[in-house]
Amino acid sequence: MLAIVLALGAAASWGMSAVLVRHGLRDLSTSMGTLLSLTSGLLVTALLVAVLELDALLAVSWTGIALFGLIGILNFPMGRFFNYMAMSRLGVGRSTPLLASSPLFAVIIAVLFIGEHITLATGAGIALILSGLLVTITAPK
Amino acid sequence: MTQTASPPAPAEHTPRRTLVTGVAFALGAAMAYGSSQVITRQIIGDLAPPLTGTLISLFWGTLGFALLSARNLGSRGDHFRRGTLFFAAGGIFSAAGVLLMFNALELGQVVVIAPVLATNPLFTLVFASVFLRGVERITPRVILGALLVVSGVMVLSVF
Repeated sequence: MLAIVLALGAAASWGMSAVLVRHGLRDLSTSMGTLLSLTSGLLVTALLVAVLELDALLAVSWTGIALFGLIGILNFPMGRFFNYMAMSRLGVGRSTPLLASSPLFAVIIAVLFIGEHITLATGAGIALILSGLLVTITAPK
Repeated sequence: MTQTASPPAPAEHTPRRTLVTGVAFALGAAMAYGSSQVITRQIIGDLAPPLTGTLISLFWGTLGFALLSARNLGSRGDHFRRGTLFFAAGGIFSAAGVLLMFNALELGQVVVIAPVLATNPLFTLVFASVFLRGVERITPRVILGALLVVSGVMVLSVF
């Protein structure tokens, strides 16, 4: 039960983050906003790691640092900046469902490059996501 | 990197070009997030605990973004301080979400937690309808679209 409450807390935190960013986009450029949000997130995470996982941080190999760096480049300069650019153009209401479709791309990449198979359930999930994207994109402003 | 214009007012019709570029940016972000999910699942393994991994990723991502965008951060507008507070708070909520997610995954099974995490767009729409009143209109069709996407993501995360 506690795990579900924590997960709901995570989902709510991300929801609140999107709304705050939408407000901020009225005052600052997307680039400046992205940098500020990354920096504040970095500081909070660094504080948490310093308290909870400092030994683990010091033990990370160079390979680990390089691979996490690759993920960081995909997630932040690309993912977050594009996310905010979309939000500034479409608003938070229409950009949110589009951004939430990221697992669809994970499935496509896994099928194309890792050889995973599409099951009936996966196909149903993809169909639901695509329907949602279509409904969202064609929604009048 | 380009700068953004102010978001359109709720009553305005979104020009086609803005719509197309907005959708392209959103799907580009979703693709970047999706790719990193695959790399995380397939390659990272036991290289570091998730929170430590997040810190390293954030460090490189922030450094990379700072270098790429240093010349295009935009001028300080009239409401620089207010905008800074909104974005900083947004970053803190985002990081808090990651921490809560890791704790949830530590205590519960992925098959239970992942669908709950997938509900975050619904929270966004609820908060937007409360805190963005007068800034944005959340239409029934947008809610339907979000429900369909969230349902699809839940199916993918369970099966």
